[in-house]
Amino acid sequence: MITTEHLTKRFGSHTAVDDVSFVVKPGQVTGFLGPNGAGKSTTMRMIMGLDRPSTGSAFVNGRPFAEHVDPMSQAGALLDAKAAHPGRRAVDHLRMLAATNGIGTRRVDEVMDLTGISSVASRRIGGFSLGMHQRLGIAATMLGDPQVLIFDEPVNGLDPEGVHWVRGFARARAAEGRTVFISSHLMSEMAQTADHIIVLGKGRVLADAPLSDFLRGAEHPTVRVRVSDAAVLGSVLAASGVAITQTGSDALEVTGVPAHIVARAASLEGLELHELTPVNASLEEAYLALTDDATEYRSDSAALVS
Amino acid sequence: MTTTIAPTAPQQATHRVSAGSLLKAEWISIASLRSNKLSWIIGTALVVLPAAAFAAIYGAQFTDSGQDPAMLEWLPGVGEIAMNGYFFAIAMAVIIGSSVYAKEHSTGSLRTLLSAAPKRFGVMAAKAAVVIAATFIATVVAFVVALAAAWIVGELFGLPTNVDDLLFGVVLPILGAGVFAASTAAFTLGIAALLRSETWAVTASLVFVFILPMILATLPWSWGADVADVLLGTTGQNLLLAHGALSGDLLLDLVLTLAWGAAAFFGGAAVVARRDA
Repeated sequence: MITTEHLTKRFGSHTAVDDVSFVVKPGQVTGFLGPNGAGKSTTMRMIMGLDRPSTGSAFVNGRPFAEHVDPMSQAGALLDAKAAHPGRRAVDHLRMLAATNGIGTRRVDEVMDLTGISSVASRRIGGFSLGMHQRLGIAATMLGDPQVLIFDEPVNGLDPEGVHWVRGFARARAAEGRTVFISSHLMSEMAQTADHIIVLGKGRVLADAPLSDFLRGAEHPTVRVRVSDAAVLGSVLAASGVAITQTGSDALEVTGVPAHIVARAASLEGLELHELTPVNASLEEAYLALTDDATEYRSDSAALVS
Repeated sequence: MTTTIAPTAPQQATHRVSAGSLLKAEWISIASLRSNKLSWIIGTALVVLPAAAFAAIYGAQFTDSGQDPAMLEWLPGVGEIAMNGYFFAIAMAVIIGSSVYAKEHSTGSLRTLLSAAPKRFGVMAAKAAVVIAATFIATVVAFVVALAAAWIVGELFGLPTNVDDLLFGVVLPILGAGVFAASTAAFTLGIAALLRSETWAVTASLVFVFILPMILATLPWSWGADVADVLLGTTGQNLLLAHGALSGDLLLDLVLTLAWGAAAFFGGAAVVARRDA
């Protein structure tokens, strides 16, 4: 389990992480979402004791990570896939890390098999592709067979097969009862991987909820309607205070009431329904709505118009 | 949000961090890099070659003079000839000491290491212990080979060994070279930890060891020479010289040489312990 309490990190006058408190529970994948610069990586580094909090605390299995006598058995973290000496062979990189915790070479062989890099064990890391770097980094996290796994943007730059593999790996480890904490800014990825979502924006926790609750909470039910007389249905529904947008001569978008209410109103007026489609908010939309005011680096939307 | 931490029950750790495990990891770290092996090989070659070359030059002069016994009054003994390449041994120590920290930092490997072994002083102490031991042994081996080369080449020219006292004329200078190189490696490790740059750590250490004492010694004030006398470059070079006996000055040079390495290391380790990785 990972716990942070009022975790804050300041770099000069800039507050990168601001009073962040959350609990990451075992047996599920917890997605850590946020735009670039939200403070996700800084938070993860503080959890692993690499960065020192300005105030607040982070705990791994009830203690600050650095206070464990068996750190690799407590937590494994992939914070930067390329953080390895390029001149070192993959097997030597893993042997070195394993040796710090008194872990034998048999376990090194096991994690290389687990992550599918046994065939490149004797190759120097400098020649690795990004996907191989990610697998090597994940292999290192598994050396101590830890209860807590922390992955910072593990699918960045991976091909679809690599993304699929990382997703399956994370889900399998969570199914074993481990705590899996994954940061990402890819909403679609988290929708398929995470059970629970923590959203960070400008260093603050914006949401901390199960994925389904997160979606439901951000959802504004919208119903797309095509009807024989849109004007009549529109006036009937408008009387009940819902938002209505006429999108065509016979089409409306009704926001604020579920589809069956719209159907009943049409029926009572004797109107003929041609289409009645509930439109659910995607995780992407929910996330964008949530972080709209908390984006550190914003793109020019005009650039999207050709 | 405030949460209460439920302390987990202490578990029986099967794999734990210890001094021995960190030393083993650091040895794997150093020995698994071709660049470090290459530095040792090239450093050894550059220590041996000048010894052999000077033995050949002196031997040729001695032969050309018809093996004039008067030349033996000023010709250096093989012990001194063997020490001619000491600059390269120190340069090797600087490069290794710097790369052990700065290269690992710049590649991100150090952060990965600290994710596995988060107690930073232990990691730094293991780095220092391994780099000191490896540099001392590599330097002593290099100078023993240099001594053998000088001896063999001198013999080819009929040059006498000219060694009056094996202990003070040969053994202690070679051990002194090992101490000088090992302390310089620890010194550079500390500087690299402070500066976090391989280039700057190498430059700063070479300037401190070789250039600064020369500049201070040439200043027109006596304090310049006094300060130069206690700097690492001067005290270390004094350990390479043949001494007639153990003296207070020799012991002071030994203590100061070790102190420079220790001071820089502890300074660097203190900064690493407080700074974000």
